[in-house]
Amino acid sequence: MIKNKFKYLLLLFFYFLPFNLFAQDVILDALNQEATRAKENLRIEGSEKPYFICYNIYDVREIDIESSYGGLTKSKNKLSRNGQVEIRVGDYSFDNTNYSLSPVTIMKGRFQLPIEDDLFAIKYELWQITDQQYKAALDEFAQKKAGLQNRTFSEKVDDFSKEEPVVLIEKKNDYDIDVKILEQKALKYSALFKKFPYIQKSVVNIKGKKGNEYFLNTEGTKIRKPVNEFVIEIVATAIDKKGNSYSDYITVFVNDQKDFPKDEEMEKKIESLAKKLDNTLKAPFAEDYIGPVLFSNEASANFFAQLLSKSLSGKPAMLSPGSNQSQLIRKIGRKIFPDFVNVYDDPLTTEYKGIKLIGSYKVDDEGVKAQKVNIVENGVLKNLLMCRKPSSKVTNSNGHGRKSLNKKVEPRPANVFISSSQPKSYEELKSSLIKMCKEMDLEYGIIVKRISDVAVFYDNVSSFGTLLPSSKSNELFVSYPIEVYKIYAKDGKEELVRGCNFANISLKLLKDIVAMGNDEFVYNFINKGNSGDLPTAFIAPSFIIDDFEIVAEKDQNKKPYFMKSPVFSEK
Amino acid sequence: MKKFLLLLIVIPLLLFSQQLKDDPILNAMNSEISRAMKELKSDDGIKPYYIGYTIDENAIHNISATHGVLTNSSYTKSRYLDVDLRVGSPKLDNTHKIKERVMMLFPPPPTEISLNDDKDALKYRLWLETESSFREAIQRYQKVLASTNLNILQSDTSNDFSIESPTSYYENVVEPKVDKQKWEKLVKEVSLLFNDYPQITESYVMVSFNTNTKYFASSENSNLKHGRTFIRISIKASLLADDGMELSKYYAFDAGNENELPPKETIVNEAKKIIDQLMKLKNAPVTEPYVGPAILTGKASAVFFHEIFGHRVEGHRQKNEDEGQTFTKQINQQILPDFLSVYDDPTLEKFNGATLNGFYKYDDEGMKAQKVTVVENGILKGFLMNRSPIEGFSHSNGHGRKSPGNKAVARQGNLIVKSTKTYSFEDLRKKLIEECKKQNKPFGLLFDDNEGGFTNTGRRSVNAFKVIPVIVYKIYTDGRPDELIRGVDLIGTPLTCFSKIIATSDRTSVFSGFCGAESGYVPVTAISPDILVSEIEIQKKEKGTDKPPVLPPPTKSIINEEIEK
Repeated sequence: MIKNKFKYLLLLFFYFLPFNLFAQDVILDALNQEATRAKENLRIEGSEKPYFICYNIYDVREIDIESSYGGLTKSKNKLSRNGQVEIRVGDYSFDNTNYSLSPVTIMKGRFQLPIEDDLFAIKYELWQITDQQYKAALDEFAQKKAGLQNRTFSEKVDDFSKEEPVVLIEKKNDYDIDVKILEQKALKYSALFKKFPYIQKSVVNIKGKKGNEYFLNTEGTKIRKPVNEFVIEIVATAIDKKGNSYSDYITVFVNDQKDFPKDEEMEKKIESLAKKLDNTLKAPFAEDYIGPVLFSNEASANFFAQLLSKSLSGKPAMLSPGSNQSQLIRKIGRKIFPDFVNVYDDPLTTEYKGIKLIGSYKVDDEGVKAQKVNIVENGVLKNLLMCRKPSSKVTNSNGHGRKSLNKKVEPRPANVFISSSQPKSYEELKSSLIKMCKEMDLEYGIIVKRISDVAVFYDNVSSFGTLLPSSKSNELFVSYPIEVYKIYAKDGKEELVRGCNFANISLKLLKDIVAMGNDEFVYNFINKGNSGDLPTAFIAPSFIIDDFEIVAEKDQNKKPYFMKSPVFSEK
Repeated sequence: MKKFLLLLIVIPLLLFSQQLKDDPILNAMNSEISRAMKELKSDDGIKPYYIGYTIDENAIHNISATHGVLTNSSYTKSRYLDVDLRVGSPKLDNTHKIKERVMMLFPPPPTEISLNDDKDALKYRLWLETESSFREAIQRYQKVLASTNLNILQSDTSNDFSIESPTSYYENVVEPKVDKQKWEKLVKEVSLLFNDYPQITESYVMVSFNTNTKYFASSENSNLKHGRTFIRISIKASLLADDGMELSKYYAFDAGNENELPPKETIVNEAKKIIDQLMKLKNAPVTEPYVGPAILTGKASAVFFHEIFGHRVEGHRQKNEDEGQTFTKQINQQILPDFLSVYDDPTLEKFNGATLNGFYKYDDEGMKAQKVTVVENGILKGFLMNRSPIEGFSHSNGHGRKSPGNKAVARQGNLIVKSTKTYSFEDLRKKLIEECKKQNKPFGLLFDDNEGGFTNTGRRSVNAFKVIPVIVYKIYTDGRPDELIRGVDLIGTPLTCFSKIIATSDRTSVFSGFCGAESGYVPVTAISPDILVSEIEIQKKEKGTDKPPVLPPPTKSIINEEIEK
């Protein structure tokens, strides 16, 4: 008897061990079982069958800490399993997608899974949402067919591309975030601002996401990848006596909270931020200017990021009225940059000169393998970024279908590298700028060293949001610079100026670039867009652009505050 | 007499003064109020005449489960700040109602303020919010001045803000210790019951502990800290009938502390009852529109009174020109049958042992909660008032309420309907049958439970109400057993309804919930006996077009599925 039991135990041991180590993932099992069941049997008599089903699960702990002047204004900490299901009826050439009559995209197919690993309970949720979404897809399909009945199309473009399935199961990540330590950091950094009475507003924001992302579709793609995103954002606003306000920021992106810089290093960054704002307050006002402008590397990477991010999408306009597409689609094969400029996007590169690129990934959000895409070769536009919606010229995805939770995928940049085949040193660029000024009889040239970060300013600088073009429009936009210098032609002396903005931003400007540097800068940022807020990197060197327009924005003429900040009023 | 009054005010002030002085939040509020009252001044000399700060703190444990598995187990704490800043004078200020088109798709989120009691951090946020409120107030005030010059006089020319004496109160609010494991286990266990009923498409069991602490300080020297804990265990389940009609049932246990919560068996029984009722409802016949006599049992009539009556005696609606003003000119006139009286008493914490959600000590304008007699023996005696006076009522009676991010208006607390013409429930049933016979109706209706309702008090659309009943029975006059029916909405116009109340029962029921209106969601309770009405109108409930799920629900284990294939 005893012997028998022992044997039984041994058997169990051998049988279950590999299971526990590798295969056992309740979420994957549940997704697999429900997807298979639905693909095989989900059908309403007389209606289309689903030909494609895919599930996305974000199984993450998310924290959001906010602090000002030593007080915690927010500390959110939530573990949740949010998901989304996409169902396509019809076939790859014509299905229920790429047609929407409503001006607002209402994201359907969202759901929340139980936070415990219970196969039945998870499958139950999936079953319900899959059923609902199937019916919604049938509605969409009928609406699209009706809407397009009287229209003829010169060329027929498929609705969905066929792609190789990918199986990538990475090591399962935990959800452990030490919130207390991060709260302490936020409190400590925000309290430092009590030293700077000229800074009237300041906020320290620490955000983190940790866990796993799942993706599974009925074509055989099965993915589990870890999510590790942490960021510190600091924004400070100084206000002069007339009420002109100036903001500046710090962002630090890391994979793990342990990788955040040491407190001493952060303190130095904050000191330097404060010093910069102090200098800005004391600086003379800028004047209107048209002429050569040098964008130093940090400003350059941010400038390209804002100018190009939206335009790099190769996705054609939807079939429904009012939908638009990137201006660049019609320029493929045409020159958009000078000869010496090359641009490519490579999600597979994770680091550049030791600096982490936050736009990296192995597989995109449609489960397609990431690929390097050559966008511009010797100044000529070669390719644009594609997701699984084909265009008349490009039939397949190039691994750039991206989105955040509860959004619809669009082609979005990952890590965009911009470089020159004739790189110059920064000093050479400066000399060229001075030379150009002299030739044009200009007293001074302009150097833009830093530009405001859209995502960070949007959340933390009052009324910044009103400057942005609507998310639906195709209007190009580059947010205002925060560090601008005059460089005098006669002696090369630099002078900080304040209160100016860019004017007449268009893609045509790119042709006016006359020289580029060799000092590539990594600009990591959160790229806001219709398919969500996505971590993205632009890597670019300094450049000189001719005939660039800068407009002065003197007195904002609005008294921002009637009283002094209480943090400083008693000191 | 005057001296005596003075003493009355001074004594409580002395009692609380030390605690108030030591409270870091009230401290920060007071110091910013006095700074702002002194220093805030626009370029053309406009200054605030009143500033009131409210900080609303909520510490919430939410634990919920579906199918025996946790869907949430979280603790969140938030603090929201609201600033009521007024320029002009109590006679006419920036809050004056004017005709304006405001397009508000999503109201802005309420302002968050420091969760720790750091003086600088608190004051910093108070200052920012005061600045922006002041800017808004000046702009609005200019609009008010321009508009009062242009428009014809409104019929009610009462002041915009009532003059009140300051209030002072201090209590420590203690968050209860929550045994997370115990509750997680319980909600999982109860939610597991629904696993045996694949027809029930959605179900959950949830327990929430909400400790609400309110801080209030004003330039009139009011200083308050008060709060309470509200615990609710709720069960909800829903299913789709074969014709696509969604049927759902909800039940909640409320308590002020853990000891008052029912034992597990009671909760399990309630869940079983929900399942049982849903299963019966699924197969119940859909009824045709009907006009005739009916009994609304306590919970249904409580919601009925809250919607069709309560909202129409909220004071601020009496002077808003956009409102229907059903009762505005009816003070001292009979508006209900003479056997009915209606009170609103937020000071009641319990009623027959039930915890009341509409209980509070001070309202959101810092006024002491008061019992208000709205109707006495059928005669309208008063309105629920906040600090917005109306003709004949120049003071607040402690009903100014709001949720964070909104401006307080007059709202209900605990609405209580009392009757002097009572029968036992059995006799009331007999009276229903009698009434049916009198009207030559083969049956009457019995509304036994409902999920809520809404009403429209405005002028622009029909001044009507709708109550959404869940459990409705046909009571036949020929002695047939009662028949459960589904898919009805109770509709009507308020004025005609009241005159049709014939009698009430001698038992009362309590319905607690959250009421949404222009000042946000506030906790409320309505208490009423069962009522018999000679005529009520029901319409067919709007039906969803969704078919029941195509596939059967998933099976419980992998092995079963293999066999099925």
